[in-house]
Amino acid sequence: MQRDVDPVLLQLIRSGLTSVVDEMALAIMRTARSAGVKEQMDFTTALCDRQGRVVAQGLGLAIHLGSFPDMVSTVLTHFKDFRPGDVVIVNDPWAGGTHLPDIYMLRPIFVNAIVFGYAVVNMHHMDVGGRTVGSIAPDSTEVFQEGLRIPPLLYRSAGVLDPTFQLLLGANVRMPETVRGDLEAEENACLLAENRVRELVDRYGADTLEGYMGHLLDYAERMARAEIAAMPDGEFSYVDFVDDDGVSGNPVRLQVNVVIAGDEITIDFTGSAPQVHGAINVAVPMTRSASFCCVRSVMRSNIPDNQGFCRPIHVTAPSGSIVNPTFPAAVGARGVTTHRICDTILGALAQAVPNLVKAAGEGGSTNIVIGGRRPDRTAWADVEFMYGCWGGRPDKDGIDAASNTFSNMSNIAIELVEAEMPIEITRYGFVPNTCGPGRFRGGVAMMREFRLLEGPATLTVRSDRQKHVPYGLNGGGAGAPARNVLYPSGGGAPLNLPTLFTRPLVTDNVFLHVQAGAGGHGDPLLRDPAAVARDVEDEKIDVEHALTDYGVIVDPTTFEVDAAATAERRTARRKASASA
Amino acid sequence: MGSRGVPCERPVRTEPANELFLAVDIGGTFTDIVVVDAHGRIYTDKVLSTFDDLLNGISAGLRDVLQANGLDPAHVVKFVHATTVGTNAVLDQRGARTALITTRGFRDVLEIGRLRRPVLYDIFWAKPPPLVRRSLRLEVTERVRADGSVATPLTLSDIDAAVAYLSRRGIESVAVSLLHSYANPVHERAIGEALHRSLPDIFVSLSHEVLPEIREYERTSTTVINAYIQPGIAAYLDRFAMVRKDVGVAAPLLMMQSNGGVTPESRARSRPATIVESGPAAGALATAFMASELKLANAIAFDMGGTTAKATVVQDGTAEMTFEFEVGSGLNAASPLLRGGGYALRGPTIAIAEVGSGGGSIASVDRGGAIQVGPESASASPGPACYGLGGTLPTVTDANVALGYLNPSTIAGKRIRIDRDRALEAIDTHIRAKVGGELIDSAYGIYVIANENMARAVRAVTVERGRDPRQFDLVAFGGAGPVHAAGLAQSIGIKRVVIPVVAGLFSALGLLFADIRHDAVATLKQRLDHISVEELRSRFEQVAAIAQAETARLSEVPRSELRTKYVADVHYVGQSSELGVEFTDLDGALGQIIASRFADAYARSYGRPGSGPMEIVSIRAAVFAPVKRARYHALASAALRSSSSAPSGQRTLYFGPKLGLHTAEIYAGRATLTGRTAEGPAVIEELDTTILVPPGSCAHLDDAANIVIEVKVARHA
Repeated sequence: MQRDVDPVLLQLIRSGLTSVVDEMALAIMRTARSAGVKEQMDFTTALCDRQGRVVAQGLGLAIHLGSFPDMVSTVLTHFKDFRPGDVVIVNDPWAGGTHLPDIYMLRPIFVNAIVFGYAVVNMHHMDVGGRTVGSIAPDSTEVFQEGLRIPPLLYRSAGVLDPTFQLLLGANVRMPETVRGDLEAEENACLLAENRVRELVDRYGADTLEGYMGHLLDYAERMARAEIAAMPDGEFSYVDFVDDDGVSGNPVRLQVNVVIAGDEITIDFTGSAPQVHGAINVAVPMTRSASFCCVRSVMRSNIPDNQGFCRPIHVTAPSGSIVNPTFPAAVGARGVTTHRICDTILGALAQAVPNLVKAAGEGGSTNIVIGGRRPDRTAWADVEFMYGCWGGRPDKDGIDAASNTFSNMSNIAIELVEAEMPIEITRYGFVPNTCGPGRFRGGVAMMREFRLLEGPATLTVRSDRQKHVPYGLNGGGAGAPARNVLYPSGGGAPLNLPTLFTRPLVTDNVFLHVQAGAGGHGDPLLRDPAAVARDVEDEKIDVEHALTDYGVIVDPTTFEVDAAATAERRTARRKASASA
Repeated sequence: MGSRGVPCERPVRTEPANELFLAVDIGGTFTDIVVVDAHGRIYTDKVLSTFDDLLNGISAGLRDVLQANGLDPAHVVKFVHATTVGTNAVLDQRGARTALITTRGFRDVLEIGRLRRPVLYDIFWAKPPPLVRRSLRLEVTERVRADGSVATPLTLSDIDAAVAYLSRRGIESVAVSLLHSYANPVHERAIGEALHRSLPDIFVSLSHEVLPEIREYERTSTTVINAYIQPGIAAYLDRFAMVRKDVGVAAPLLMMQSNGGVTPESRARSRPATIVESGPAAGALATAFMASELKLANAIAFDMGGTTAKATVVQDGTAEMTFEFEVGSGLNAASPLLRGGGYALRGPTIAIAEVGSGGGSIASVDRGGAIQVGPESASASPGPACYGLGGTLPTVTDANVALGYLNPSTIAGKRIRIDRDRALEAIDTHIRAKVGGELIDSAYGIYVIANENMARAVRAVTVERGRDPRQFDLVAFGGAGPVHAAGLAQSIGIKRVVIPVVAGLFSALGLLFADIRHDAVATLKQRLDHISVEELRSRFEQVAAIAQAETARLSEVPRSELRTKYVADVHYVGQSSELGVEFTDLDGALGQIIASRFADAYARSYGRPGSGPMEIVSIRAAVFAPVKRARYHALASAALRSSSSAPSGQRTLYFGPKLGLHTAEIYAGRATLTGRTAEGPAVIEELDTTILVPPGSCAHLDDAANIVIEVKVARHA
């Protein structure tokens, strides 16, 4: 601790700033209009200092957190002199954004007539126009197909809404009322932040508050460096794939080389695929964000969520590659690749710190969008992000049913979907025999099935992990592959669909999505037989899988383990694998 | 369920001059027993809350307190009880062997939950296991749609199969939760009847009865909690009836509920989900009652004990309510951002923000060199270092002792011995050695950071809900609350702190001021401009009729004395959080009244007006029946008479680098303040708590014997 930093005041100001960003998030939750925001909580809030450095981030999506610094620095190069009441928005992936539905908002915070800092919000909007409802079709090939591209511009000028932009927005998105309502929620959060920061200035004084914002960045950096220094030095590589680029059906390679040296870490994506025609390219702010997130996830200290912890983490993303595409690449469905970036980095980190990494989970959210028009011609859209299960962990099973580690989204209540849209959810639950075996098994796969009650409609799916399945660690097995199945109306053979597609639906079409199961951790032959029997009784695995995956013999009616036969079986299996 | 096996009890007739009011409040460490007589005299006892012997302990404690003070158990006219037995069954996974019946395709809804978790990054987080495992979740073929129409009729053979399976598996309790049953319960009813017929000995909870509200997970989870704790609560109340008989108390038993009202024992048996959060509700209720007696328009109830601190807003004599709660999410209850750590329980619940900051919270220095306080607690064992019971880590209590705020030799009416040297040593070793500077500044740092943690709880119920805490009085109680209250008030800009009588047992006292309360709810989900005044009124009347009939039947209070409050949960179309609009009569242009009140409340909460059409999601009615109460003002004079007036002394206290050391007057008991003002710095030591008055602030007694601290509001030092 530096000599001039009061450890008590540091805590007080950290707590005060955290309250502000959390309060911003609450304001959004309560006033937003789209299900994605209000139910699934696909948004993130933050505060920046005068220099645009992120000094606090709310408990939103971890995966968003590292994307703010690039956005803020881009916006600040466009605007030099703000006036009180100015509000900037941007979604352009080549000007600080990440993909078009994520509309970032920035409001300068004025204290005594000068800019003290910035309130910023990122929110995934339900639709921003373009070819398909939801604006994230995986088979788009240029950003121009993906909707309204917003360079950094003044949404509000000295408190007054820009009428030209409002007209353009209204003419270009499918659900203008919902989008406006959600932008209003972003504004509510920013306005509130400005008031709260002024109160903090009243309490601590502007100079002290500003000084301690800097100290908090240094503090986070110090903690991050201490964590990295404790990791073994070395180079650790890993390769994973996305099944499909959205257009060609060819897999897309992700390669990472993680270099740990002293108290710094470098994440190098050299060797990853060139950018692709489909919409799964990842704008570089998101690549960086994902990298920060992964390193952060293997740190055990309670580090403040600010930009300081990123300082000892360096990211190399070759231009023109899948992780740093050049204009005008399509990026709408980048989520699928972003999650694979994380799996790849963690595959490398697992070699460095095996006790702090879990096996691969479901592979990230599946995005399912079903949308159409009601008899009165108003648009409706069910935009759902589906999760998920966790890979087996060094000390316990993976979780059955949880949001991915790097996002923290919820699901949408079935009864609300059915009350508001012509959709029936026909099944939602676990799929047996999908978990990767391990001493600590992976989570079982989730499925959700939709019936269209009144067509026509359009279905867009962004999923993955049908061919390249979630990996196990430390001897654990991989999870089961994902599936997409369309059941035609009035019977007929079910149709297996790829991971990424857009297609029309008619009345009574039924669409089933099954996510991948998660990978296991550790040797399955070391799994407690009682845990295997419990899974059999709960129909998470059947007796055949108990035998083939774990070498455990379970009675199918009493669910009792035949201990002697199990021991014999396991010994034989070990001998066989040793001689092989 | 009804009132299975419960004898109908007669109200006790007794002379008003001899009336006794009795409360038993089970807490984490101690169970508080409070008896108030007609003169306002308060008799108390504490027994250890040991699970195995809880009821014997209560029985012995009751006999002791009655006999020692020459009180006749036959004169008890009101007996109120708050218990943690339901919460503990959930937290410890010790409920009944419970099954769940759902619509085919949805048996995993309970285990899936809402997918969110209360922590980011942490890969070791453990999701709470479902209360009903997958093998005991059964499915039946049937389907009701959102508009209440039946898309697929119930397959009767599925019920037979379920009955056969349940009887084979030794199930004690069954929850039934079908999709859209809030809109049409016909299939749930059919299953309920079949279960009663075929398995008459098992308990059955139907979701449309427990919580007829849209959102399948929350309704299912609430119904499952009800089913899971129901047999245990019934057995507990059976044993409790023995205790009452044993002690000779004939007054009927009233159980405290999470909604701040009491309910006759029979309803606690049929709807045990309503009593899960009864303990914390009592303190807020006591504050609400006191606030209405003292005409405090805006108060914050602040309760600080050994491991946690809780805050609740009380406005116009009413504690704020919430409808979403998680059992076992513990400290995360403060924020909807932190969901997923517990078991969802919907229903009217007093809104409490809780943080892991209490007298036992442990202070440490992290890798970045910052001081952290809590949430780990030294609890009662090993306890703070200064207790000398084996604890070596510095706690908030140790800091308070080091700073001179707490008595350096003994606290809690001489029940606990204090070793100040151990407190100093713990802080020196674990804090000062790592951050440098003076030892006393490390102690002050712990005190200030603990206050800041608690300020977050206060902010959660004020600023985060659109309220300015500076317009509130802070009512502080619990063993540790009054030491921190003035410092906390300073840090959030509150100008007045009120320390009520028997502050250390204030929650138990609160039980004696509760009225009977029953709630009912229905999902409407209609645009406000699409529903006629007549329909709106009739829907509210239907909902209220349910709660009124139940209250009249159970309470023996005539219908004419019942009071009904209505709440409409409203939002702008498309939003998913609602604001509750309250009113007490159904006359006039109801739709317009609701619309204008909602618009006002919305603008007030979010700082700017909303726009677009409004939708009513749920409608609620709360019905209150008055119950005989202890007389609040009588407590005051009794408190002053019983309080000691031993001579005062002096002690040196430390108030941070800016204000430094001060010599403070020490007052023994609040009676010593009679007729004078204590200028800060001062300390008032009572039997159950210690009150700190910082420099610049001053304290005096009000008419009701509360200590009122006028707080000097300062910029942060």
